[in-house]
Amino acid sequence: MKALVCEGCGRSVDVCAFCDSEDCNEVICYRCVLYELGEARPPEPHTED
Amino acid sequence: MYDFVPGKVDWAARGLPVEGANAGKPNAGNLAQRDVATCSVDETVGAVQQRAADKGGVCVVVNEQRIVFGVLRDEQLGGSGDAVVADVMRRGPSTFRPHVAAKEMAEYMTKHNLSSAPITTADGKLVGVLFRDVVMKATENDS
Repeated sequence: MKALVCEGCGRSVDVCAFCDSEDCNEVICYRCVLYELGEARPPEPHTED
Repeated sequence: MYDFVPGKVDWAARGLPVEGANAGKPNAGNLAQRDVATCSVDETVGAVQQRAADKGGVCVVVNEQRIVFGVLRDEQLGGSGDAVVADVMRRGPSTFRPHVAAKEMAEYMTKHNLSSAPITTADGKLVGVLFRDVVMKATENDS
């Protein structure tokens, strides 16, 4: 079975989080989908007090 | 005064009114077809084939609260009519929130060759189905 890797961050995934396909050529992980589609904000550095 | 605890992103994800530069732009929620075929996990594929064919060729599997469990697309709908939906559905499909910009959905649906995508609230309740041809048409004049 082909190992799938997110095009955005390199994380290993079982299926593409956008199209649910194992044969996707533009594999993206769930976290990157959330950021790319504006459903979540990327983590921001903590500020020091 | 009402304090919406879940936060700003969740507010938009529920399709509630927003202000600002993106407020008037088409998004997944306002382009999604609301009148879509739905079924329960214990129905047979044969019982939902015609229903799905009449509503764009896709059937969303939901429970009594319209929480999405799965989806039946051509591949599953074209199989045996005697099969039970629970056994053949694509479980836990990727779903998208209503506030996602139409332009981004169009780009990703094209890149991933996805003909339709379920749109749900953040807590998984079905809003509708976004079809690629609809979102492409709505964004064809966007630069």
